[in-house]
Amino acid sequence: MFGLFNRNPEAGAPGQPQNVFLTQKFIAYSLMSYTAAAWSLHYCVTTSFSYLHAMTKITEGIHAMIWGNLFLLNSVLILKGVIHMLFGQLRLIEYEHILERISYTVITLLLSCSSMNGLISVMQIHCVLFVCCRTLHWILKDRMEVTFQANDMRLTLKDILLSRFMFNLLVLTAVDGIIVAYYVNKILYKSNIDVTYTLFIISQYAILGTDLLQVILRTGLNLFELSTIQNRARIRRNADHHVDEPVINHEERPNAVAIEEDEDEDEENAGLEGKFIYEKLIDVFISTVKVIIKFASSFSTGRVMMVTVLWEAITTFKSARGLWKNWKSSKSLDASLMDATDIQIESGEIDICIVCMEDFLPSHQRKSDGKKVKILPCTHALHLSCLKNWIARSPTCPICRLPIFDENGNVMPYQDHSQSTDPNTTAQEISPGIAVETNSQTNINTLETTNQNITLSPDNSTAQNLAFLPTRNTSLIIPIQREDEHKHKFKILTESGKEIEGSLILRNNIDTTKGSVVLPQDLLIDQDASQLKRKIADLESKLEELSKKVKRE
Amino acid sequence: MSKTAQKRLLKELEKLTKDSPEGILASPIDDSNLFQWDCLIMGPPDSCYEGGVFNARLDFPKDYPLNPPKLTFQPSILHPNIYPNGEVCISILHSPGSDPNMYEHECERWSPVQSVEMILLSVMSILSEPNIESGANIDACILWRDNRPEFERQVKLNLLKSLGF
Repeated sequence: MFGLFNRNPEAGAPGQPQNVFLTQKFIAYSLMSYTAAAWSLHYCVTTSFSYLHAMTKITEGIHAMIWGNLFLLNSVLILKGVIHMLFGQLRLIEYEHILERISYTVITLLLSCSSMNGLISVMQIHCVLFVCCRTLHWILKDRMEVTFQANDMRLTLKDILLSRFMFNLLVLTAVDGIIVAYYVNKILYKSNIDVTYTLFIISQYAILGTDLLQVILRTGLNLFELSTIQNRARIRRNADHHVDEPVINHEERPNAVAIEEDEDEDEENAGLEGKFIYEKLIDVFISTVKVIIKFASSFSTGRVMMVTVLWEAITTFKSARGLWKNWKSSKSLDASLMDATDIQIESGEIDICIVCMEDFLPSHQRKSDGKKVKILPCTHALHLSCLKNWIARSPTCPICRLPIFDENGNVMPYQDHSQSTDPNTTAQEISPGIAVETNSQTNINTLETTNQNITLSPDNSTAQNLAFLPTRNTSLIIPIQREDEHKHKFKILTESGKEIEGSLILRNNIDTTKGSVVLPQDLLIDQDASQLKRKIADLESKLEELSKKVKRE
Repeated sequence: MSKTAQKRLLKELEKLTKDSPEGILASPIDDSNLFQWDCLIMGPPDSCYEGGVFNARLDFPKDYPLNPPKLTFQPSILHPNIYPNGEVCISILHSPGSDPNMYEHECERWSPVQSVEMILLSVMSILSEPNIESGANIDACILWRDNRPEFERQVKLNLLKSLGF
């Protein structure tokens, strides 16, 4: 069965020579299946003396296999037909998802069915129907993402409501409903059926139903977002109309308009901001429902599935906790992160928000809270609104990928400025503004990550002392020695006892941010050394292999 | 809704038109929609793609730069990291957050620090050095690994065809 599914979708994609070959194989296979079925039918009919006898023969031995195979083949063909009718040409990612998930689905189904006692042929029919339904659900989910990720600015609410996607959504909802109603009726009004088996099938469809519910909820969310956006656009257009601007102009160049209007921009963003959280919320809700259904069904069916249920429960719990933490930390983001001072902004020490690529504005020029400049624990700076949007996706600094929060959801500690003797030099921390000149770039990276918070003190008298490289997030004063007017030298001792010598060139005594740290090329931190050793070992083994090959030849 | 995205795309466009790196051209397909770009990428020198000019399309999501754009070569080219339908598979173009399959570190995935310029530059670098560990086109991977001359011959052939020979 996997083979069939594996072969079939690839055969559908034209243009590739190997796929042509696959199509030929598939056609040959179908022809063979049909011939075998015809032979089986002919044989059974000619060798038996009654209709009943022929039927019993067909359901036994090799004939059952032949007919089962034919059934599978035909259901695959029908499924392909249905998919083509509903969704049209599938995208590559949809094929991939199907191939990825189908084997798991079939194996779990087979496992569950093996613990039931029923007619194999009946089970086969039910299972194949279920797998087909499930495949359609997967495609629908992928389609939803495409529909709402589309970049067409002119897409209106009405377009989406009348689109093929909504039609498919309705069709699948109806199909699910009909099937579940059919099985429920069977349980209620027929006495001679296997209740456990039917319950199992119903639970499987219930899980499909929750999947569908997720799609529906997400669609609703997206539609809501779209409608708010359009409402705002309409209001804006009306407002523009009052100022007697030509409307046509706006329709032709929506971007230009968007850029010109700065004022209500934060309002615009507000509609989208929470969306990610809501989506996560829906996901968590759906997976909770799924776990409950699976848990309930695993009582009546096999106990084997309990392990999977437990596993899923744990993942659900984890994601729920992640969501909660995320929500909590993003709420308190404004309070817990440091504001950038106007001096830092005006001096150009931090200049641009990497997310929106806009310059930071000092506090008196800002129009709203969203443009507040926040400093992350790793000393990188971002706008508050940009940061919020990014944290919803990944709780790390977008520039250096250091985590913003620790395990408990609190903001990582900042460096401690109070240790520094001279308040004017606190700004000399190693920030992205300082150019780092070295040939071994990795060294600097390790240096930066292990001690992000080197504070340099211009105190010349302590120059002879060697400071130890600090563990993470502690502040350190490194004694530096003045060599000439612009050049300062410093020494650091690593935990492993290696001495790092560096020099700091301050080209301008006042503007210390434009300096550069020069590290000697020959120093190697242990980590890099071990990495290199591994690489060397790799290369050596490869060399050996090659030489063996040469010898053999 | 996508003010940030539009502004940022406009900024990037400005920067690209001012000084674009060698071998790269990119601009929106039409002025009314900043979310679809057409790109021209030159085959990097000293690779089998040298001398070729490849057309690719960038589709930006509405929440760019929080989510990565999608890059598709049109027409597709034979390369281990490019799907037969032209979609480019490199880790920096994968959505942020941790990978469900644990194939790649979070730090290799998309971050807003990346830009159109960086994406196109990394595409140029995978053109000269394919990464067959995470292949997208399995046939190309196998060919590249086992029969380099044949791979290069096919690439050259496609290249000549695309230039109209």
